[in-house]
Amino acid sequence: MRTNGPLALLFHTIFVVAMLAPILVVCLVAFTPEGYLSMPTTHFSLRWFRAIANYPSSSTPSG
Amino acid sequence: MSAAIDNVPASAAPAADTRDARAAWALSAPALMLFFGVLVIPLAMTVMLSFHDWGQYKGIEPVFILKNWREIATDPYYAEMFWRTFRIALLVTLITAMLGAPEAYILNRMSGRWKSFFLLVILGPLLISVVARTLGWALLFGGNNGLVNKLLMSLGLIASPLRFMFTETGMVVALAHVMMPFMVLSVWAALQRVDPQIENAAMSLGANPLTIIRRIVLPQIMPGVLSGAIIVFSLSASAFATPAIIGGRRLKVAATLAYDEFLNTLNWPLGAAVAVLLLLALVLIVVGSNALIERRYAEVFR
Repeated sequence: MRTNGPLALLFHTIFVVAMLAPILVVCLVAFTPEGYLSMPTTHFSLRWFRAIANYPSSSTPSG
Repeated sequence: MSAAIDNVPASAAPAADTRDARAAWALSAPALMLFFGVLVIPLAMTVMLSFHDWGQYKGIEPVFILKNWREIATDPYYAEMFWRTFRIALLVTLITAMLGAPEAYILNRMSGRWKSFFLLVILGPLLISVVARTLGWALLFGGNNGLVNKLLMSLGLIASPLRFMFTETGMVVALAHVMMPFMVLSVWAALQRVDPQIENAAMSLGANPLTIIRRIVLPQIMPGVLSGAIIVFSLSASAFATPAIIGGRRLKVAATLAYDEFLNTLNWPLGAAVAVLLLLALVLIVVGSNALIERRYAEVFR
């Protein structure tokens, strides 16, 4: 009675995938090369990370 | 000092008791003052605010009227909004209990290393912002080409894409994901107190696995499921970030409505009334169900 049957392991797999999927998707979308919300399909890009680095800080006047 | 206390005759014991009681009050005074200052006073001011008057041009007027409460009681918009809030919270509680309790049980039967690994995987999302997790669900379901919609359609489970954004379905799915770790943790804690040999004993007496789960395991972990349910219910009824992202302006729950009244309409008294009503309803529901649970499962808590 101490081991899990195949049905229990299937349930467990689906459960863990469902717990992790949204987090993985957010991480993947961060590397999109496009200008809109999308999954990176052809290649990964760091443009949005560069955008954070180049974002003018709120303490200094912009422009 | 302590020698003097030790040497007092028995007749002085009541005096020492009152001195102890006074010391206890004095020692807890800083914490009590903090509690009073940051919780009781703001709450009392919110209750007072809910009885004040407000107008587009005159602003807030510190008078005592029941206008806001009457508006909430008579306008069906508020009744619908409160029903939606508690319907979503109840569905989220049911889903997390139906999925989280079996998962905790499966987790508990795994061997050492896998157990700690998967426990970390399931509790790990607690360390990640609720906003990021909700956006993840929005991306998974988003539009007609969201991953989950594609998967469900290719499996033939649904004919047309599920609408997710601005729907109650979306809120329930995302909130269930956000609240799941609390339920798994609560059931997990209850499972730690169950003697694993009881299951073996039941099996040796000829019980089949289903009977063991239904009559041996479930009654013992039920207090864990119910305390998890109380946590999940109260957190999802007062949740703000997830309903704000998924429901937007169209589908409001109590927390997002109070926010909008405070910061967009600037009708603070009405927002305060909504917030106070949500607090009262939650306290009543949680205290009531807690009393029911403690009576029903008195022998387990003993």
